[in-house]
Amino acid sequence: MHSNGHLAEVTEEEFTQDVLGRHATTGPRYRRLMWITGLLFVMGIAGFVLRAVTSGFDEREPWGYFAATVAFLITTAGAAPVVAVALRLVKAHWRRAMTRIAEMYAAVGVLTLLMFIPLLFLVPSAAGRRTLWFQDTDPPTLGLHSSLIIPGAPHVWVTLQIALFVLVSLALLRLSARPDMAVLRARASGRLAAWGRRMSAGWLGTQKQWTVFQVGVGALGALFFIMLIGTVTLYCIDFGMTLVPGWRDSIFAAQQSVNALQGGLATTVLTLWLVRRYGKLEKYIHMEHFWGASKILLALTLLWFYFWWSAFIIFWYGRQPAEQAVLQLLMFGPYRYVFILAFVFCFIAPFLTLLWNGVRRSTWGPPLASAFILIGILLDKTRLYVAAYSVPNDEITAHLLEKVPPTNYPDIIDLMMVVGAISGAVFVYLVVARVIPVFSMWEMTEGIRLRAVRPFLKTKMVVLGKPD
Amino acid sequence: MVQILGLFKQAEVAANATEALQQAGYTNQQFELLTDHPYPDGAFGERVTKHRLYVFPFIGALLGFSVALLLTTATQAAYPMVTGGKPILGLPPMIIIAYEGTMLGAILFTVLGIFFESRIPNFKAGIYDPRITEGYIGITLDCATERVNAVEQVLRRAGAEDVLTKE
Repeated sequence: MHSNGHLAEVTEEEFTQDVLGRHATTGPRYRRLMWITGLLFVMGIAGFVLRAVTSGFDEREPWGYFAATVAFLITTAGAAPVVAVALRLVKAHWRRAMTRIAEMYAAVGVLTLLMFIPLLFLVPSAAGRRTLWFQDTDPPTLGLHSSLIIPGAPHVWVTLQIALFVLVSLALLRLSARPDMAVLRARASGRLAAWGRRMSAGWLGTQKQWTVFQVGVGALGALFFIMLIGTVTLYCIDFGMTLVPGWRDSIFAAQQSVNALQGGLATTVLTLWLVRRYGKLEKYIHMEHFWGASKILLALTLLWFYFWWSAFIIFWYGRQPAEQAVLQLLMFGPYRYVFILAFVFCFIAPFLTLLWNGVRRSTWGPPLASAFILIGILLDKTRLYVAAYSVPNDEITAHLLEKVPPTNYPDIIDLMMVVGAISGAVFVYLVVARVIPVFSMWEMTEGIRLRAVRPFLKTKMVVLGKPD
Repeated sequence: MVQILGLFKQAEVAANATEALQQAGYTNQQFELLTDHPYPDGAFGERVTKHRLYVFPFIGALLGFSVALLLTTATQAAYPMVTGGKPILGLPPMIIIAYEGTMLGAILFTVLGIFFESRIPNFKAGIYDPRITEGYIGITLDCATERVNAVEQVLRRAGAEDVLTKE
């Protein structure tokens, strides 16, 4: 029985006991996965060292797949906490089982930031190039409208942007986990209790603490959202688009931002399914979580197409020589098969999957569509960044791409880096899931208290309390 | 002064206990509720909590914006190099740096604000019991040593399962 006297699926205490019990032990399958992803991560580091030694940092082409992987991580793991942020802001009650699963991806941001640093050596200064920074050389060669010189553009400012993005993600995770750390402090044992003592930072659960906590989570969430859009925008422009002469697309950053929202949600939904399936957590993760997410995922998939189409149609009808070269490079030339596959996996496959009500209202349909989207994003970033990085250094200040570079096929080192980086992200997530409970316990217990199953005529229905 | 903590298994009983405390002469400014998850404001008849956290991001954003504007404007003004007769300042790159400065200030001040409003680090830990993490509601208040027994009686009569004290 629920403490309110109504029938409930699980009580607060049963839930807390269950989560703490699971959190205290690491199963053999989990341990095995940590070993596999850890070893693949080490292999990725070896690949990075090999690439640095054999190719150096003078040419960008050998680093195309590495840059694509950084973009993939920003768009998927980096964007995942936005699910927790957005659903908290709109006070969606079905969010509770998935918020921590989403915001734990904040820890992967540290890996992304570290991976971003080598790219700084590959991208030239903004001076004398057509970039977002409108920065000319002295004497002027571009005829720009001002003679403003921004020191360190774009390197210092994009680094600051990504560092702040990672900082705000970690602050959000740290703050949101604080009440749960108090539970570990009080009820776990050994190192976990000591960890909880340190991380709960004197949490008692007073009304003042709860008020400040909720306002703080909301404020950091809003700042996270702004930083996510800024990070995706600056990275895709300064470390992608401006490396290709003649590629001037005002919609590109917006399309990449929508892609990040789509990727963040897809990452969360797929992780939710994996946690439910292999963690045997069907009791807490229901069809309603997938159903709720699937509707947003469908909308974002349609938006992806809308933004892509809006950008594409300008180039397609413009048909200027520079625009034709960009279309050749990114879509119909050396990367056409990658483009077709990316289009299929980012739009057609998830759209056709999520179109059906029966599939949306299932526990397998939305994760399947999410898997399609993640494959699509990896392919999409590959065709964008590998293509952009294949443009030689001496051509990036030209007005248009005179000669489309041939396909840059991945070699073994590229594969090591891509697989290693993605495995590294999974490894970091697995490690964090051992020290922070995979459920936001304070949100779940609040949800249990606000939710009751009551008889209604000859059936039962859920009654939900909405305090605000 | 002695810290007293009454523990209640049922939220409804704890809500009634705050009334009993008020009837015994304590105002809702003097007692504090401890819970394992957030309850709606006023659910226990407790005082409305005040905070100034919302001010911090705005102050930080304003400072960050000002510093960014100063950085981009003052450095160019200090060493003006007119090239090709074009104006010294260009808005597009200034907007990017102003945005980053604004966000830097807003994020740092929000984090500082959370620390400040949550009184972290708190070296004087208040009275606490692990049962609060099991869903128990705690009512805590400070009172003079000679009134401890009376307050304990009030809390027990109101349905407290346990009453703890700390000097």
